[in-house]
Amino acid sequence: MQEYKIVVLGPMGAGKSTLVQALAGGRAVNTDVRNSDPGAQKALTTVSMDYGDIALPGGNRLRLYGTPGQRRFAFLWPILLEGASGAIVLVDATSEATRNLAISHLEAIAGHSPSLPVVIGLTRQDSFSVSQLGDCGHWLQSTAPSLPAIPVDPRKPQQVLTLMDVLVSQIECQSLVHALD
Amino acid sequence: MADVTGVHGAVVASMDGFALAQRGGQAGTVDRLAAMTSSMLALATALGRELAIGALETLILDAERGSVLMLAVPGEPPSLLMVACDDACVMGTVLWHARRCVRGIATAATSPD
Amino acid sequence: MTCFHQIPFTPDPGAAEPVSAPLGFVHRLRQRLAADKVPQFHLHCAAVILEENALCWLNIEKNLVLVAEPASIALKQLELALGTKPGRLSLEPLARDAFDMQSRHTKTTPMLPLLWQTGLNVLDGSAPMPPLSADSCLQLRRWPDFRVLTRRHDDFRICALLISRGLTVQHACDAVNLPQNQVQAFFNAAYLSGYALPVLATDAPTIPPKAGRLATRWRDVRSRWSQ
Repeated sequence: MQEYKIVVLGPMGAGKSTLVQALAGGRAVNTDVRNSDPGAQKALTTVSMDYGDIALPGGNRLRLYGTPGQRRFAFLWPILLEGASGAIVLVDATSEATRNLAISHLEAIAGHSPSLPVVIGLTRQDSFSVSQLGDCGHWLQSTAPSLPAIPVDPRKPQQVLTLMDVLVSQIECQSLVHALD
Repeated sequence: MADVTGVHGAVVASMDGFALAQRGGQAGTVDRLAAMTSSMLALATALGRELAIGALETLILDAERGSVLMLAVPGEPPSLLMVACDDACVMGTVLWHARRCVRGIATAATSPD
Repeated sequence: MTCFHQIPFTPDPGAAEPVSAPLGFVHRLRQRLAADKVPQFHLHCAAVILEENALCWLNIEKNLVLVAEPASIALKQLELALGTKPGRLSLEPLARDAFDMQSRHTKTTPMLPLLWQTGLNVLDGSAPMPPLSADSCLQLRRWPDFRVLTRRHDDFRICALLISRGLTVQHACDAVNLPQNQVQAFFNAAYLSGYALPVLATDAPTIPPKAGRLATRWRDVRSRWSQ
């Protein structure tokens, strides 16, 4: 039996828990508590992890781990990345501040496993202006030019599936590329 | 709590991992400890939910050279108490004091001032 | 700051753009598009001319394009020229003011997605777009801008492959098990829009039997969810 572990990282509020719930059909375990942070826009925040799984054909399993986004929980990121097959970094790319925060998540992955397949999910795309899209493009080009970045609304199942398609393609091609060398 | 044999530090943390109060322990580590405490208790709560054993009260961690107790502090808002002990401590005694501390914190939190 | 490094590759500019040949339209365009790497080739705006008629105007700096009306005809002409008579196309420098003036009565669209789509359409992927050949080995310099790729999942798979190493169309087809014209269309698009560059040819890869297990299982589950 084969197990594949996918970890979802990114700054608070990007939609990580929503994404894990969407993929796990609403059955994911979560560790949300009340958010006491006055600067936060939402009532609840993950403090440990979200966990959901998907049964794959042949008795195999896809395990999804959502992570807490705030820097004070950074100690958890390498723990949760252990044994991962791939990672998704969700970024609310409308703001420069969150884009900068996402750099710590990308660095955590690069520091732990630099060849891990990664996909960046850009959230809140519908509220982008043309110039914001341009800023986002420049940021991606300077920060992670070799990583795929896909717009995604974590509340929309089809878009979440597309994001996973890209990640799975990355994982597939990585195993191909390593075999080719 | 500080006078109990073997206890070398205690932290009160918010549910989402911010340090609210500290006694003993090392100066620079309280924020990390608060975050870790909230993660541990959140995961333990999730486990308790999965096994349907009711609200979380205490989580005890035993290691080679010491123990850590983590307790849920009821109140509005609720908080968390973490007590770090070395191996000189007597668990039963520490637990008794910790629970008394929890009641104290809970009462203080709900008092008019 | 780049967190993730690519496997280093050896660019082979001679492979598809022989030094002795006159600098063709595609070569000039690619030079301008890659201007961030080569500042002396920097060109803000340019007009794409086919036998004295402007088909479109590019603002390379801002990633914008204006297509001459009627747009569908102009684009068709561009696709045909790129496929069969590239020698008749030229790229002429244009002043920013001239571009701005033209933009007052022509619809503005993002440039790279349009170039990409044009590349996809050239020869319908049935053959390499000149100056590419069947033996051209391409690698992606970087992941295409997220506005460029459509939601064709197979494009993502080819990207994932070519971002890591250079391959010929045939080898890429074998690796991802996709039809030749689909992969060729991708190569044409990636080359035209400057995302891919020719690299030194590599040996034919052997595809391991177990590669892609997760992918197959995932697609199986996913197709059931989509119903």
